[in-house]
Amino acid sequence: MARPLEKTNDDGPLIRSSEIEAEIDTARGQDLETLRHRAVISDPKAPDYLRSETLVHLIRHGLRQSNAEATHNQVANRLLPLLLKRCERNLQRKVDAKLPDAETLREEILRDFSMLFADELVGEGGLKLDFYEIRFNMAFASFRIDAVRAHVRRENHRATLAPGRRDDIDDNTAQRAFTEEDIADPGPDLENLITRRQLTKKLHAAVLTLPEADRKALILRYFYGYKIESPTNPEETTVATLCNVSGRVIGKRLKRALETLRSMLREAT
Amino acid sequence: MTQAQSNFPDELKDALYAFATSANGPTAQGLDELTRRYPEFASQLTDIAVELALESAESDAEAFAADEATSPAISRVMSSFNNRLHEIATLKQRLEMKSASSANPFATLSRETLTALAARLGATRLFVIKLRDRVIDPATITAGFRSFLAECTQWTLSEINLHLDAVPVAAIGVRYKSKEKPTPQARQTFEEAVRSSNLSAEQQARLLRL
Repeated sequence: MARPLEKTNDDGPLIRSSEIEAEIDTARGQDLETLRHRAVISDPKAPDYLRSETLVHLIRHGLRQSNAEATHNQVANRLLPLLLKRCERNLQRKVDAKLPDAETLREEILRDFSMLFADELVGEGGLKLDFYEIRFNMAFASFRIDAVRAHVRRENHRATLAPGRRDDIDDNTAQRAFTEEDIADPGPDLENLITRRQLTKKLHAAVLTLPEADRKALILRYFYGYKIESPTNPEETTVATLCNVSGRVIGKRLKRALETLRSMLREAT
Repeated sequence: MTQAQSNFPDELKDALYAFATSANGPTAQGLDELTRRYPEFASQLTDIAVELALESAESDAEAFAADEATSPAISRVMSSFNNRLHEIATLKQRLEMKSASSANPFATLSRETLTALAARLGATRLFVIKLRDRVIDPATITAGFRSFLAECTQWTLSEINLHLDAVPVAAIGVRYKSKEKPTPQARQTFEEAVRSSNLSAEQQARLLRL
């Protein structure tokens, strides 16, 4: 049985899903060559695909057993590069190539990530790898986003997730005045975002091209479900309070975002 | 770590991890809790939450062709990684030599400082002696206790861990009140050590909660 995780969240101790536990149990009984072969597979739908959560566990387990002795680090030396390869692909997609020193940043992120494994051997790093055994992609996203934002602040460069116009000042050139009806029905394309919190590939790409302020309003409204504003309860957290602007400004941003998305999706069909 | 990390406090980084990896994905409730606990970072946390939401909402990434070739960047990263492992192995050896020859960090403590350490830990001298002599199975000593022990001493967490994880030192000349003297071959679990060190119920509960 895999060693229990030690980190906790607001729900209590972290617990791996039964699927991950089962995969770890199977993997622990396989030889290194088989594991290496499985780790090379990059199609998550392939039957022998090894989840990244399992890879993290195997590498940690191997390092604990070997206790940093170079001759015994075979598991880490065979499997960690394959895990890093998956991370590298992710970074190539997600770290904007237009950022200054983007390539250096990607490598720094990979290096810092690899050090989480080494630092555990001397009790440093705070067992953050526990989170990677729960939901690797989201844990790595958190790590990556933190690093990119720190890099952007240092470089004093205002990055956008994708090309789009800067929009710190609201556009007052709307064709007609904003009304609540304009955003009452976000349309079928965003229904999945609201109910299942998923976006199609096309819609996801379209959302990334929105100006940052519009995108933020859209996500806070339709993914997180915040109200636009709450005139009767000023203490309530709303899109307006989170963005530090009025409800009217948020309404304009949402209207603009929805119009842009509809137009882009129409053009695409 | 390189500079590619924010200046968020460590507890906030953990809270962000928990937020990102929660079973239901990032939620408004989770974001509210984060901004309530860390209001000075509210604006940054909201922006990060938006990025995490987009990550969570993305449909499955495309499969890539299987490819074993290692990029130059990954080769350099693995080189740094192995250098770090070598540093750790060297540090371990140095500490183990120190432990075997002279004294481990605990053994330099006088009777009075040993007693004082026990007081800071909220434990008994017997328990501290067990830590000194490494009769507690390191695999059962939680990260929480290790951090607490580092706080109560002047040693770094690395030194604490390397001491606790090293080979047990034969307890020559040490008298134990308990009739069952711990031996290197019969290590106790952390819980067993806590329960058999004449600690009060409250002291035991406190240590076991760490």
